[in-house]
Parts: sequence; structure tokens; C-alpha cells
Amino acid sequence: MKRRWIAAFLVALMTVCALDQIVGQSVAQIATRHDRVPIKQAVAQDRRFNLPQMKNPVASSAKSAALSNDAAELYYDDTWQGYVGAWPPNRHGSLWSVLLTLGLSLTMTIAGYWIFGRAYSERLLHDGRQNSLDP
Amino acid sequence: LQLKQPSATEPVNTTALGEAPSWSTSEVILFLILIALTAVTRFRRLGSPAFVIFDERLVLMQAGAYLRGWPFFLSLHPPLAKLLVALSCDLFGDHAYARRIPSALFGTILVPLNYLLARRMFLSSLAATLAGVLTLCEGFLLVNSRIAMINIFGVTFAAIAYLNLFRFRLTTRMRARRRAILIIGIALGCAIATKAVISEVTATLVISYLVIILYTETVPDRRALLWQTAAMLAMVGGLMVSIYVAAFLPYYHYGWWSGIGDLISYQHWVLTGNLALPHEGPYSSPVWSWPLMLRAFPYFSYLKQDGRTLTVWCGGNPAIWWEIPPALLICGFHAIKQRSLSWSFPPVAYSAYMLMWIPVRRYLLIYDFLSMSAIGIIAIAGVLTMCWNGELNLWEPLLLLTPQIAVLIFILRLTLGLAAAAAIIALWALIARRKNLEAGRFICACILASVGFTFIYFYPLWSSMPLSKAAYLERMWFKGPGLANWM
Repeated sequence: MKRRWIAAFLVALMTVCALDQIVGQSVAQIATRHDRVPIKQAVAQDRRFNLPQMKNPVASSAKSAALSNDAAELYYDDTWQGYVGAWPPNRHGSLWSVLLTLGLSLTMTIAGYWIFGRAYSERLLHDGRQNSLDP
Repeated sequence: LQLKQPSATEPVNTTALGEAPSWSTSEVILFLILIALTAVTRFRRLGSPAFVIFDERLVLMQAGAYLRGWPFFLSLHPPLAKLLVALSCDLFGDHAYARRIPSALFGTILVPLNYLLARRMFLSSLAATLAGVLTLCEGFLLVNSRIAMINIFGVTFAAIAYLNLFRFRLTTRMRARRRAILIIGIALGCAIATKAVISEVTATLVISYLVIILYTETVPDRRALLWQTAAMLAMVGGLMVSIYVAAFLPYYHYGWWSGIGDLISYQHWVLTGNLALPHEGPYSSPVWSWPLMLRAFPYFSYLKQDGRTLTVWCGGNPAIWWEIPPALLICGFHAIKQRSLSWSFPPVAYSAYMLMWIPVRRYLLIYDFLSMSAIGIIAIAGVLTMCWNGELNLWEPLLLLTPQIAVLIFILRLTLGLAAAAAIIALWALIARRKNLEAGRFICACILASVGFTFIYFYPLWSSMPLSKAAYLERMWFKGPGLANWM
């Protein structure tokens, strides 16, 4: 029985790891088929990118930084095409949705904490614990 | 909740699986010395080089965005580690040392964490000491603790989760178990808020083992198990979501994002961003080559005017790195033989991290091996402890010795290296004929000596100490052309 459970969970673990990538990539491929925009065009269209002012405050003030600190260069660098994409101009939802998500997840944690205390009993641990899966 | 309580005839046992050995004064002193040595290797000359190296540039751009609110910068990775770098810059100033303090701190914490983890996994002070020493001497962990990149953070958060998984297992007290679950939730949440995809594997792994522990070590009361499992999932899941969302709060503070929909769209953006990356890039290497460390590369290399080279090398300690596959094999063998959850953990975790990368088509760099490297160290510590105690079969010490022969050949060249290896094997065979215990200890001593020597030998490459060109080239065991290239 124990071995069967262990085997089942290990198989499930491997499956989740594999699916995580396979499904994720397939979904992304379908999703991007229509709305991929070349990076330069996308950045140019997005007015929120004020490129001439895009100096990194931290790096630019480091006198010793001999390498380029210009953020704008990164956005226009072809080798990074697609990496730093333009953020979709549409805004999604209000701040309340963020607070609601945080509230719900914290409530879930507190509920889990309370239920675990109620459901737990040391008396449920059985003899097999002593010798079945010891180091 | 009203749960069925076991009747008087049902087996009842509140005995713990075993206790980690009690702390002696000498062990406490050893533990503190290890931490001090680690801190020295991580913090000494941390500001060198003063240049912004490799992906530090991306991290600093984001840190700048979080500190000053502009420019808006979106990364493929969540912001927690970058927020820590921003905090450090805010507290200690805008210079190379300050921006690397969080990495060095997390890299230092990893040593005591691995020490405690091995102590609870193998219930042995020796295993714990070995895990601590190996973590200290693994150059891959060292170099990633000395630069302002995000890789070391995820590994340290994962180690906190592993440690509490085994704390959960060793205790029967409800409060201690509940506390362990809470810490696991926080650690996994922080890991996912640092580097999401690889931390999803960590989360799946830890949660799966929690469920296995619940289901294999509890009487089959279906209802109680279901409630406990649901409660555990709610605690861990709730904390993970809370911390992940909270890490993005600066986006809302600065008005870059307006609602939760932006965070959901970001997930899509990350997927498309990853897909848009090319299959091959500079320094990229396939997953299968990582355990062999074929494509280590310099994060930074600079030729000084006096002809010496400053390098920050993204490679590991070969004496540890190449020891990981044999150690995992032996771990797996003993996991099956002893039906042991502890022994199964390193090979299962390593395989899960490895499998995750197989379907990925974007270019990959060897630093993604970091999670596997950290778990591999625990495997080596466990196996060496068995070796020291004379508990291994005859073929296992020989298997452990094989990578060290390769190290000998690279350091001493072919003829001398083979002669040294032959002498070691002959000596081992001679000792093994008399006493198996001493033969095991001899192998352990050889491996540890090799680890110590290679650590000192490669240390200048990890800590950007100036090296002459000849000394630098001598340490580059693979020079290409092709995949096997450390330059």
C-alpha cells in the first residue's frame, strides 16, 4: 500500500514537471501566433516608454561602472529582441482586485492553519512510522 | 470538525522517527567556524570587480526602477530578489559591494541550512559537517553568492523548504508540524517570487513529499487524512500566492499596473518572452552536459595592464560537481534497498529539476544547474557518511573514486595522474583486504583532500583574484572548440 502511494506520487511529480513545460509552451505558442509584435515597433508604439530619459538611476550613479548603463540601448538591442517586450497598453482591473486576491489567499492560509490544528492527532501516527521509511 | 479517533485496539504510536543527534560543544564550535569561514569566502573582496558584470545589469536596472519609480522595466523573473538588491543599495549606498550584499548573505546562510538539513535527513553530525564543508567549497554556489544576480536566492529559499520538510517529518507535535508547514509556505512563496518556473518544481516536490509523509505515516483514516491534506495545501498555497502577489506591489505603488489582470497578463508575457528567445546563445549548453560541467564560462573577464587576468568564473568545483552523479546513483540504490524516504529525496529532486528543462527549447546556461548542484551536495554528504562508517558495498567506494581520478589527471597530466590514481586504488585494495571500515575512511579522506585542494586551486577564478595568463590557462581544463569549453 505504502509503496503504491509512493510510486503514484513520484509518477505524479514527474508528470507535473513535464506538463508544466509542455502545456505551458503549447499554450504560449497558440497565444502568440496572432499578437507577436516586433520589439522595435512595439516599443515605438508605446508612449509610456520615454526612451531618452531611460537611464538607470542605480547603475548610472556608479562611477566605476565601465559598461554601458543606458537602458534604452537594451530595448533597441536586437540580441534582446522579444526579451524586453512592450507591456500591453490596456490596463487590467483596479487595485481592489489585488487587495481581494491578497485577502483571499491570506484567509485561505488562516483557514488551513485552523483546520490542520483541528484535524491533527498524534494518535493517528502508527507503528509503521518507526521502521518503514527510516533513514 | 469531528474526526474519528482511533479506538483502544488501533495501533497508537507517538514516537518520533528518530532524533537528530544532540549538539555537543565541539559540534557547536565547528558549526560556528563553518559559518565564519563561509562568511569570509562570500564577503571578502565582494566589491571586486567594481564593474557591472553579466546580468547584474538587468538586476540593477530593475533595482533602480524600484528605488526611483522609473524607468518601468519588466523582467522574465519576478521581482523579490531585485527588491532585496534595491533595499541593499538604499541602505548601504550605490556601489558594487552594497549591491552584492544580499547574494553574499543568502550564500552564507545556505551553509548552515544545508548543515541542518543533512543532520535531519541522515540523523548524523558527520553527514551534517560534510554537507556544510561541501557547500562551503562548491565554487558554483560561491560565485553566485558574490554577484548581484538572482540565482542564489531561489536555492536558499528551497533549502529552507527542504529543511522544514524534514523537521515536519521528525516531529509528532501538532504545533511544530503546523509551524513547519507555515515556514515551508513562506519559503516556497519567496522562491516563486524570485525565480518562478524552477521554484514550481521545488514546490511540487516539497508538497508531494509532505503528502507522502502524511499518507504513509498515518493510520488509514480517510477523513482525517483528507482534512489534513486540504489544510496543508491551503496553508502552503495561500502563503505562496500572497507572497508572490505582494512581491509585485511596487508595480501598483508606482502606477505601472492597475489591477490583478496585469499580473495575469504578465504570465502570458513571460511565456511569450521565453518563446521568443533563440535556441542557442553565447555560452549556452544542453541540459545533458551540465552534470559533466562541459560549458562553464566567465561571467566576467578583464585583462589588466600588467598582463594579469581578473575573472569571475561561472563554474563549479570539479571534485564536487563530478562526484554528484555517482553519489545520486548510490543514494537511489539505498533508497530502494532500505525503502527510505530520506535517501530517495536527493535523486528524486535532482531528476525533477533535470526533467523540467528537457522540453525547454530556449537557450540555457549552466547556472540553471544550481538547484541540482545544491541537492547533489546533500547526496554526497549522505553517501560519504556511509562510506566513512564502512556501510557501502565494495563497488560503491570505487564508483565514488572515479571522478577524483579524472581530477587527478587534469591536475597532474595523464601519466602522472594515472600513476597517482593507480597508487591510491592499490593502497585502498590493500586496506580493504584487512578492514572494510578503514578502507571506507581512506576513500573519504582522498575525496575530501581532493575537494579541499581544488577549492584552493580554483578560488581565484570565483573571487576575481588576479591571475597570470599561464595560471589562468592552466585552470581552463576545457578550451574548446566545441561544447567542452570553460573559456
